Amino acid sequence: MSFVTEESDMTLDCSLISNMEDSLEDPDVSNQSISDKALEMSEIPATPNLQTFHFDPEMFDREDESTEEAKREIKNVFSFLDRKNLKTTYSALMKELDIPSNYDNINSVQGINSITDTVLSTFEAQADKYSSRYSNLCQFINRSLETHRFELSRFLYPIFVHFYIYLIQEGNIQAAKSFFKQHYLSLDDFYRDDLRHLLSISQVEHLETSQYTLNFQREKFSIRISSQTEQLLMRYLHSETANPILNTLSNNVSIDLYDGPPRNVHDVSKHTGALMGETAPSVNRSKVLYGVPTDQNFLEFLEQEANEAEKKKKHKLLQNLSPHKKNKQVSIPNSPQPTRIPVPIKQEREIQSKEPLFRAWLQQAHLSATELPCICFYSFLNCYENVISISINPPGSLICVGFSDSKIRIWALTPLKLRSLKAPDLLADLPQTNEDCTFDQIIDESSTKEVQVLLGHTGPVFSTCFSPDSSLLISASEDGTVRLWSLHTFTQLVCYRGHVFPVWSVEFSPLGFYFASSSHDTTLRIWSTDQILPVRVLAGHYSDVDVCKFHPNGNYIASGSSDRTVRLWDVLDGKCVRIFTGHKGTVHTLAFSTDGKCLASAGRDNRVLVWDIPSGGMMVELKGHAGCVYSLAFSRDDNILASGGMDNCVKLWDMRLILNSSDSDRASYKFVIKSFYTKSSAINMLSFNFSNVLIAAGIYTN
Amino acid sequence: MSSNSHEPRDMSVMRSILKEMGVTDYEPAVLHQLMEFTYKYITGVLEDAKVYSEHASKDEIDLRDVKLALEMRLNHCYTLPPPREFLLEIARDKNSTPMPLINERFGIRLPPDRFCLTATNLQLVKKDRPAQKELPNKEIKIPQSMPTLDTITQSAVINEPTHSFAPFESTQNMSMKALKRKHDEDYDEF
Repeated sequence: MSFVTEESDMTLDCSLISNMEDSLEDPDVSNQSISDKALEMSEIPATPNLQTFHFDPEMFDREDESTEEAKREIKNVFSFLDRKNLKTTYSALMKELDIPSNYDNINSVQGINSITDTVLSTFEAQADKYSSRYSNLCQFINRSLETHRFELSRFLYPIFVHFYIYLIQEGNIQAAKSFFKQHYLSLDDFYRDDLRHLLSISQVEHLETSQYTLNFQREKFSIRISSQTEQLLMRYLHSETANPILNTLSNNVSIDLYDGPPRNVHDVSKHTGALMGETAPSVNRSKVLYGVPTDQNFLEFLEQEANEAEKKKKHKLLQNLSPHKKNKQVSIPNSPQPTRIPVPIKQEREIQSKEPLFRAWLQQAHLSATELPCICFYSFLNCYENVISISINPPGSLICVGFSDSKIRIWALTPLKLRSLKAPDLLADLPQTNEDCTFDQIIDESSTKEVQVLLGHTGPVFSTCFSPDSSLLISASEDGTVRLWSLHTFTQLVCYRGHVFPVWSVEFSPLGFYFASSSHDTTLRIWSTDQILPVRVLAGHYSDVDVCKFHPNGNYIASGSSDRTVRLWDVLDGKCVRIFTGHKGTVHTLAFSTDGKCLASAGRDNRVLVWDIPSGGMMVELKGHAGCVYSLAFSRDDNILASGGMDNCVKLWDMRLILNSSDSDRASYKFVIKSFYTKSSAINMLSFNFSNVLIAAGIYTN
Repeated sequence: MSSNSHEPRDMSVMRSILKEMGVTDYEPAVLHQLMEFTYKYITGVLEDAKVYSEHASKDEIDLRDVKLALEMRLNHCYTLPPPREFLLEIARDKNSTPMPLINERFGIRLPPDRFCLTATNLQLVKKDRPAQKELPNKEIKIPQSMPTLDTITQSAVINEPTHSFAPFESTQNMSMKALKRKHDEDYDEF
């Protein structure tokens, strides 16, 4: 199956890659080797992987020039003072620099030279104050007992950044660079992007224009250590007088103490990595109503089906229904009141239109580690660098693509093409009441098209999302607007302006009516379609919010950010109820399990993390991808988690095993079931449709 | 990517800037894009500076003009997102109001019409009236009660066929009168 658009030679190609036995994979070997490497790395925290963490030596090259220049400058000052005979200024200067000196020895060229050297060395000594303190701290940490070492090593990163900032603030750029060069290897590998950014800051003015350093200056970096470790550190710090480390700790670091023995390397590294440090577990203690109430309409539908089956004596069908009835009838614990968030009352037509979905639910394929899903992969040809976002509607009948030239294209994936409404004058002739007029009557059969192009944005379209009933589409763009489109007329309905900065992600609430957007301005906003202003603003992230995802019950929303945290927000009052730290790179994608208990997140650090929402802790860390992970999806029965990304690979993980194993066992299990490789298409989008077929899409690159 | 000896100096400067920032692997088009950007940026700044220097009735652009031009530019581009405290404050304000109640309505729930893009794209096209063309020739015959242009348009909108609505045309000269709806049609509570 392949479609060709009118204007370009872009094609959408669909091929089935399920059970592709000839794929290159050998999950056992790859998984093993990667986890081994990870173990090696994590055991030596103070010496990260040098291969990936390397700065070009030329970056530090101009050091010598600037020394010469500084020397010349100082020399000029003293020659000037000498020429004009400014004794008082001279002594004031010397006093400020703390150099004991009398005026007489400046009177010759040698005198000026020697005084210049003294002053220069004083400056260097001041810069050295930081450098030596930092090396001492490193030594202290390396020499301390192994039980404390990993917790103590968490202090290195904030102190390193603050010392660099101090040196820049003092105008001692050269010392800052040499400090950086000397000590950057003491930091963890995953900070390299931050460090690269830090190195690009070389003027006091830069500090005010960098969000990164502003965050460090204004906010506190949080570190969680055991009280024993804290005592050890404080004893060390107080043994040295006027320690700038102590100053930094009291001003810019918040320490979260806990009783008990210090954590081991695994536990420490599990939660570190976020831009502003690890969250205290106390933050994640508030109650979250994570349950997903059963759809009342579905229950009614089941009842109806059962009655009909009984009438027609179809015992087989009845048997099919009974497990569903048993599962669905029980009231779900911890689920919010249906009226907690105001939702419009469903109209009859909406309920009727859901019937095919309910039928698909009944026929849903059962998945497990031995019964793998079919995967249907759509690859986009001849559009490398143009396609930015791909999204699909829940039943998997429409696919929507956002392009960098600000166009949005929608393809129909079923034989039922894209049809629009009849013209207004034709609609006027139709009967007015609901009973007499079916949906097919208002559709213009002659308008069928395979692809529709939506024009309106003035910048690359970063994200699109279908409404749950697939009648509306929402899109977000670099131009800072969020636009609502009708899929009946294929025209634009509303333009929501609120974010001034690029909007990275939009998502419709599963309840319909509400949608959320996340932006470069570090906020998420929740909108209702009938208001041009947001109904909620969710602020708290330290950096861009790259992705947002509604909880299946519509009462919560999760967000993933460039500050390497995942947060869960309550839509009702806009409060942040969970902060998950542990990612070592930007979070690109999020997925909730259908029962609303687990949240999976993944991103640039090539790992998939699964979080337990009730307890607020990390459930498991899934390693195995060799590139950024762009997409995640839970199967409809929550037995399988699919992930895909830059490494051209779809991996299936055994969620049943993850949920049934205890914390201590998880480290030893291998959760990956199988990997499916594409030839040369990165996986951009994954979604399970209602019958549990995994639909994937990606862009072919050659 | 070996550097070419015929390469313009700016290009090699750009190359070394990228190198300094730790970018080593990029497509050749990146350099061109960056050159384009710097050219556009610098000419933009200098043009602004020229306006400021003219305003100050100076003959030549000086450093202060350029600095002012840069500062003015910084105000609306290369800006950082608002500070976190400010955003938290806004969020607190916004989130303290309860979720808005939902009106009972049918169809798609959209904002009031004036905020939507659903209105027909109309333009009022004025056809030349033969009578108007003849007017200058028959100067003497102009009656005292000759309608002004305003009244002509108004009456035309109501009943005369000399004006017609041409849908889906450029919106530049759009007659706002024809598009504007009365506010009391809206049922919003902003």
